[in-house]
Formats: sequence, C-alpha cells, structure tokens
Amino acid sequence: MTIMESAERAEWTLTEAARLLGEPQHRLIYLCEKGVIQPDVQEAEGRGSSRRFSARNLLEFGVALRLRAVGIPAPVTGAVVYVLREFEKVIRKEIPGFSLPESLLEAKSLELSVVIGDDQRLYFTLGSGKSGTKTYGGVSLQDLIETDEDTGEERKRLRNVGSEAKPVGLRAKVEVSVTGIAQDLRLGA
Amino acid sequence: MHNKPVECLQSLRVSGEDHGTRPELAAGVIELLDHLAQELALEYVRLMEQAAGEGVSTADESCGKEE
Repeated sequence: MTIMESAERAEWTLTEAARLLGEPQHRLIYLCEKGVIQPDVQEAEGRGSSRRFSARNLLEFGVALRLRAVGIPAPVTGAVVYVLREFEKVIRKEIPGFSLPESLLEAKSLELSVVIGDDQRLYFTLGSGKSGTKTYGGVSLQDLIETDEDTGEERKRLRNVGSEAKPVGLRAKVEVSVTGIAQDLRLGA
Repeated sequence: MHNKPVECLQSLRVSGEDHGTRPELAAGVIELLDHLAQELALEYVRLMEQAAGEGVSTADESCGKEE
C-alpha cells in the first residue's frame, strides 16, 4: 500500500513504515531513539504501545535514511529534519493546507534538496527548471555535531548563515532530493 | 527576498508550541536553523506565486488566441 493509495490513512506502524521504505526496522528505530525522527501520531511508551508515524514522518525517514547511508552523523540528520519541519510550518502560514510530503507531489512543485559539500557544510537548494536553483545555508557540520555551550563567539560565527549561499570550490557533495523521495513514496513496496 | 534580523524571527514562534527542539543542538544552532528554514520557505512561496502568475498569463493568452 502506498501513501497515494492510502490517502485516507493518517498513520503507519513501524512495521508498515519499514516495509513502505524498504528498510529494516532497526534503522528506523535507531533514528527514533536518537531523536532524529519524532513520531507525529504516537510515541512508544513502554510495553504495549508502539510508535505510529504520519506521512510527514515517512518523508523524514526517507531523507534521514539516505543521509545515514552515506555516513552523515545523526545530529546533522536531525538538523535536516528540523529544518524541513520548520519549513513546512512557515509555508503553511502563507499557503494554508501546505503539507509534507503531499504538497511536493503537485505538478508545479519545486525541487527541494539537501546538500552536504566537501567543505563540511550543510546546504539546502530550491528551484525549478525555469527559475534556476538557489542555495541556502552553509551551516558547518561541526557546529551541528558539537554540543558545547552556546557562547557569544559561537553566535557571532553562525550569524550571516541562512541567507542565500554561494558555495565555491566544491569538488564533491552528497545531495538528497527531498522532492524525489516524496515522489518515490508514491510507488510503495 | 528580504533579510530579517534573527531576533525578529523569534516573534513568529507561538508560545508553547513544540518546535521539536533537538536536545543535542545548541540554542544558537536552533536559532540559525530557524532562520534558514524561514528563508527557504519564503523563497518557496515566492516561486510558487510566480509560477501561479505565469500560469494565469498563459491561460489569458490561450483564450485570446482561441477567440
């Protein structure tokens, strides 16, 4: 059963999510236990209860699992998922009804991707064939991984990151298409 | 696309709303990611509105040709 076929469904169990994503359950469990994925419907709370996930969670799993597959650390993956959630929230204020992953399946949807460059920085790209692609971010992976106390120096170092970025000199990168994953979820197992 | 001071973005938060804060990320990083998501989202909205406007223009031209 795919997300499109089960359009009326609002939740999936861990087993169903793993099957739909084509991944072993322990990988999904790992992401939940690391706090990368937070079940929208129900969190596991001891014996007798199990996690239940939303369609958005399935998209988050899809993105997170691909990042993990190429060795991206969990804190970085968690940051990506966090940005996607906030991204949805902000858009929904302007476009009521916007939701992930469904809104990315629309014909005129834009290409949204996560990029990690060999400059050890996290970017997001957004664009279409007509408008071209813009890059945002440039967050240092080290800043995402380290958990030192927030200092004034850190704030100063992080300021100015978030507006349109123009990474230069990249020779290699990891790119995960969020839009592509949303579309893949239509295919199912 | 406009640039907003990061501090102003905090006023967009609804008090008590769960933002899915990840305990392993420093407060400054959360603020940064919020700003990044904000800029990304506003660009998305802008591009979608631009595409919608182009669609309307195309429809108007087609109607004109058919007449």
